[in-house]
Amino acid sequence: MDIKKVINDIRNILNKFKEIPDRDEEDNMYIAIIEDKLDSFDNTRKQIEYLKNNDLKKELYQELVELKSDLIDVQKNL
Amino acid sequence: MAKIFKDGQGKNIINKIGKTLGGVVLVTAMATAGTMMAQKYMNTYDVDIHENIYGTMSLLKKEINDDKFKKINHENLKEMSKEPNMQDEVKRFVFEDYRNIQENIDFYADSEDRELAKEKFSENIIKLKAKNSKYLENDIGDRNLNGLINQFINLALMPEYNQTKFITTLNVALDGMLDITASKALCVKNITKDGQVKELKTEMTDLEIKMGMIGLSNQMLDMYNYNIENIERSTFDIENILDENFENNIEKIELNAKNAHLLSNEDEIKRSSQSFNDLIRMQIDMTIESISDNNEQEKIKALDKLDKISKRINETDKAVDSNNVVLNLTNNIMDLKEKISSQDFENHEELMLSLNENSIKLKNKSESLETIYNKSEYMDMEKEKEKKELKKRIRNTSRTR
Repeated sequence: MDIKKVINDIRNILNKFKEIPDRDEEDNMYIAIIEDKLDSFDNTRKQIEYLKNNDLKKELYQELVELKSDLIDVQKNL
Repeated sequence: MAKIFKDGQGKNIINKIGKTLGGVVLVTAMATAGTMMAQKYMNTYDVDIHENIYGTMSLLKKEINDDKFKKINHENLKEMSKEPNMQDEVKRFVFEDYRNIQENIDFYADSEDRELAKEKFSENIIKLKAKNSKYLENDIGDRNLNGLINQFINLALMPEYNQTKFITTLNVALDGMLDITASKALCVKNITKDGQVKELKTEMTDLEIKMGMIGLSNQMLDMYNYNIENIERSTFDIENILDENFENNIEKIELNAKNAHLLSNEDEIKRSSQSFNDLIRMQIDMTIESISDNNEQEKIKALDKLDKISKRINETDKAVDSNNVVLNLTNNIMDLKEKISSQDFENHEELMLSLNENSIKLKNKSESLETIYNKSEYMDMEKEKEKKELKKRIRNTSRTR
């Protein structure tokens, strides 16, 4: 359950989105919001690690995996 | 034009992660107080304050009806928050309120006048609490407060955040937190002005009391200890900052421990003891570093400080004696004595004598703790195991002396 890795994977997907030349303003906004959220997720991860709370860790991991899967779907449909 | 996110897709993802983030961060903020409470907050209220705080970008991008927004003021906020067609505007209004206070806190955190910063932080946070209690439901006010604190911690955890500023703001937050928990408790319970619980009113659940009185302040202490460990000491004078706050921090931990005892909350008692132990340990570690320094003045200063620490441990309130904290500290002092005995301190006999005297007192204290421990009426298997371990360590410590 490597939360850091999933966060990095998501960042990589977002970076690939950024390379697409004809993205519009709305796309940029979504990418920026997701990046912003990822930073906050990363801080949350640090707190959860410190609290050593496995339930929260699972919860965060699960949510991130779902987010990654959603973004992979977006990527597939490009 | 080709779009990355098809219609509605991006919005769905954002909505989903907005909820997740609010939920997880809120739960994290309250982890010390129990997730049940967080669940209660998350499920009960319509006005999702966390969306305002953590979903800042999406909130600010939402189209707000100016006419509606202008109708809201602090006097009618509570009423307006119940209007279904005013939800976005109410959220924005609360968010602006938040942002003003956050900016105010940041402004003072930048200030070099740390006393002023502390004072202003407390003022602002109490103001926020008062506002929320007055205009919104109390629980939403608490939720706001938790959100703000969490936001603050998130900010402080950011690597690019200036480290000196970080320590200052964390100290300020710690003070502010204790003020706010005390003032919060004063509103709802009969407690003394110095924050000690005299009588608990029945309408507050244990969980709520824990959250208000202990959970948050302990969480701050934890974050404080955790981050200090992770900061490069060389970048600024952490030692002085710790020295300045030493007595204050010890007092606060003692107060937490007393409250935890009053609430018979074993977990919090242990946590307070642990915080106390960590704080002293940090001081001793740094003293060891200074003693290893070749500078004679630094050595004297370090010995003097060590003497003060030992004295303070001996005077420490019984409330933090619940675990084997004193014993651990005795061991710490012993380690230190061993370390410095190999160096030239003959010229500082007086200090060494005082240190010896304090060590003997500590030894007695740990022995009397053992007696208290033996008298304990209930002991489950785990405690029995701990007891054996404790006895073994006391015997070993006595032998090495």
